[in-house]
Amino acid sequence: MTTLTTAALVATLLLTAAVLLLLAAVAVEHARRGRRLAREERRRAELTPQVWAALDDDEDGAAALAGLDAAPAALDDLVLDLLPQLRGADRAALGRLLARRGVVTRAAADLSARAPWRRGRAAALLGNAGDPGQTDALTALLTDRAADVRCAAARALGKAGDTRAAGPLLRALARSRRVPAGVVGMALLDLGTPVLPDLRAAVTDPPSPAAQALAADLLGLHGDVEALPLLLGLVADTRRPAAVRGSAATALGRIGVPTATPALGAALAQTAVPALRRAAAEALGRIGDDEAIDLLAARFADGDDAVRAECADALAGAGEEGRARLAAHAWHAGRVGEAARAALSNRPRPRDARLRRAA
Amino acid sequence: MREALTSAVTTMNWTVLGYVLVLDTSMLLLVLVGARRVVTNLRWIGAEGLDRVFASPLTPGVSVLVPAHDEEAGVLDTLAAVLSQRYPLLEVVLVDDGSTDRTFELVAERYGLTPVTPRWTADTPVEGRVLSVHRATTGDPLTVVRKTSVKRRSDALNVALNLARHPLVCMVDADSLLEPDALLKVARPFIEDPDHVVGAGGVIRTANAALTDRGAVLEPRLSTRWLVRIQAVEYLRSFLLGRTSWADADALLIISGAFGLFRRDAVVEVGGLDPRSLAEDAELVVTLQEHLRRAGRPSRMVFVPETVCWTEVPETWAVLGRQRQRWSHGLAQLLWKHRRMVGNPRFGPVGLLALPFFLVFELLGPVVEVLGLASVVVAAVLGLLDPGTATLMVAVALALGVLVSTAVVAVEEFTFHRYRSGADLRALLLAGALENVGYRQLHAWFRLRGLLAALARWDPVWTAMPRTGFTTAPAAAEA
Amino acid sequence: MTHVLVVDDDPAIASLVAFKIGRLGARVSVESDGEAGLAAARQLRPDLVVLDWMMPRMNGLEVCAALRADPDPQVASVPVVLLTAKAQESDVERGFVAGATDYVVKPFSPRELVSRVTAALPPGALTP
Repeated sequence: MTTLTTAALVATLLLTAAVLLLLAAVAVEHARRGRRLAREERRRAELTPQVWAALDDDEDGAAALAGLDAAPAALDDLVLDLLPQLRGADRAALGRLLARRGVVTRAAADLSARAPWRRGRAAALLGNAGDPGQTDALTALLTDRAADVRCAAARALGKAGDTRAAGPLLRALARSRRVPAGVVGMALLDLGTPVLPDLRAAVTDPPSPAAQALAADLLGLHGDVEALPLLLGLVADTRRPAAVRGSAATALGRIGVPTATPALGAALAQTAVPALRRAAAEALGRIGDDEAIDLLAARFADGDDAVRAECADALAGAGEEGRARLAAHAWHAGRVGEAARAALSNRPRPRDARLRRAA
Repeated sequence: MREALTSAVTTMNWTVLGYVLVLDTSMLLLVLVGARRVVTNLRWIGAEGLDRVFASPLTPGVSVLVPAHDEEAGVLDTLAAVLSQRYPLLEVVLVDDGSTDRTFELVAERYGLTPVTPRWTADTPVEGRVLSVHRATTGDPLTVVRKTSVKRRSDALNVALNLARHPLVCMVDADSLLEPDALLKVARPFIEDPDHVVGAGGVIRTANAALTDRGAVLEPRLSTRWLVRIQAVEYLRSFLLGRTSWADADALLIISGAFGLFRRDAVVEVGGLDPRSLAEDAELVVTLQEHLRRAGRPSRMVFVPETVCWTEVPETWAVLGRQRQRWSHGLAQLLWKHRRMVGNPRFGPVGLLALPFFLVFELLGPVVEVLGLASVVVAAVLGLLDPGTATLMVAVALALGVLVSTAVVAVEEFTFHRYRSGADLRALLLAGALENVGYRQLHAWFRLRGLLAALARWDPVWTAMPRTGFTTAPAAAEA
Repeated sequence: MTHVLVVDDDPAIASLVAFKIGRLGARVSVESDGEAGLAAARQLRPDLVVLDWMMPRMNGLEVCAALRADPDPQVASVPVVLLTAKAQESDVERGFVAGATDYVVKPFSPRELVSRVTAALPPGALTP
């Protein structure tokens, strides 16, 4: 036998051994998982009614709560699965239950674990448990070295509901280790109307253009009428980036007050950036002010396809008068006529159609 | 003369053996790297904030583009699965690409389609003629385009792209079923890294014989056909673990046409899908990578191994052969078109790692394997083969191949364990072993034919696969 | 006795809601998918249905529309409270167009849900 054949023989034997080992591992895993899942399910079924009983405010509830102190760890998983779906007093009660059982303390310790997933999971848990004592620790995690963990921390701050987090969240948008606007935005929305003053402050005195744009977006989603003067100023402020002015325009549309029509009309008529014109046209469509019909009709021949489409849609939504204006264009050949026909046919009064079907 | 032949044949024999060993070892490496990433991702489950992505009004909208050519067997299931996605803002653009069956009628009846004037959002060039555009009246966000077919999926997708309104576009085949969370999971990277992520793909699994109901996969089951079972293992290896580790190395080349999500502006910027390509899905990914690198805009292609799209795979050798020939042909076109990227450090891991690997192992692999097999036969006929040594060498290669397949199934069992029954698991393990004898060699032959077709510049024609539709679960007994 | 049907594919949510409503003296049945929910509603003719939207085998909206179109007037007029994670404005609109009586968004307050269920039933049907 040459060395080569010996080596091949040894390799074959080793590989075969590895295959057999894997097969054995798979068999054991498969058999054990079935039993484990059945056991967990049984445990859950036993614990569930006790947890529900513990949610009551009365004496029975208190007794049930005390009875859960010594329950097995499966209880924590049960509560943790449920927490994100709940809010209000029952969620707070479950959060307190987790705190009593030491779950919150353990998670707080895990915030400085080495593995990113441990830090992320701990942050998510603390957010769900809603303990205001953890706000500072979670805020510190907004500059974590792992992007996943930063996002998890932002989401957790939103869920925990402590309004002190608003400022740090807005500042996290523009750092070298940043948290993206989509994540920060949702966290701020989760914090609800109590952070409206922070958002207004971020419009007047922005930590960064990104924060200003996001704050404007969120004020619009909240429909915050008090922010109206700030947003009107922002749309008109030609020194601001177009993205920020676009967010302000969209927000004005969402708030839906006709006071904004002149400012939006000016943005629509005078801006070189198509994205901003588009935002202004869409906002005018949302407000649906009769005053806007002339402004929209005037820009209907806009050189940008998307702006034209937005103007056409806005007119289509602006009642008989707007539709009449569109219909006048619909006979034209070329792109303008096409946009008019598309807008008219895309809005065949959908509400009526749906109601008829439901009836 | 005989001496020269002997040495040539012997050299060939050893080359093939070495080649197979290197290929399988790199496969094993890919499987291990992929497994590591999958395990890490699983640790995050429940803490990735999917509920927040779903609840957020800031989540970017998705236009789902579904090309359908004679898909009456599965199109309603696919639409049901897409329309019931757990996603805050989406629209579906179905393209009836010159179907001659009842595809359009079925959809029109189910969703009460009414003709509308289309609103075009891009001017990607299209060859087929658009006949009409329709919208659903059932409240579902569905648009249907009828067009004449030019027998190319890319053309249908480009029409759909021209109608898409949302910032993200998702391409889904009309024979595929998305799991309810699929869109949410592939969209998450676009929210968490909005500046860099341009494309994201999810896992494709074999749906044949899975128990479904109105587009929802109730229970994944393994087909009783060995050909499908082998493909199930193959899909786990290449599409789950392989792509996971390529994406981990930032060198993802292929986001499957059956399920991929892209930034619409980027796709429009590169002119949509290449009409001449037979592998338009991979082609799009490489084109985007090339374009964005050249433009100096950093970009990322992401793979989300938790996301699942179930798809029908060929059940017969003939259909499988055509499919693989097309893939290989498409890969050859792709590598030729982007030959300047191969080995080019300017394109990072894609140029240095992924493209050379695909060139050497995916495209040229079949040449070596088929020639190698032939040389072994020649050697045996000429009596050049020492039976003992030959058996041993074949044994090493086989053992390594089986180890790779077993490792793949083991990773599946330890992580996702989608197949619950022990019988399915055993069948999967056995299929993994069987893949190495017969399937692998025939597969090499199919791919070689694709390569030859590409060299002969045969006109690409996209041949559709006969669909059987999904196995519907029996209606629940009346309560 | 007031009879409430809870249809939700998440067993924990279904059992929580069933527990809370059961505490007010109602009889509660639970189903875990849309098709079974619709069948149960037709057969049991409950006084109120708490319905999830996103479920396997028929979503909540389809169930709701099917209930409203039912030939049996008692089934067609049953109050339906949608309990869903679909929170966009357009979703709420679609929910009411399909015939929902009330719409509760997840994450939800179980106490608020109970109040809304009580309000959707005739006065005195439940005893808080």
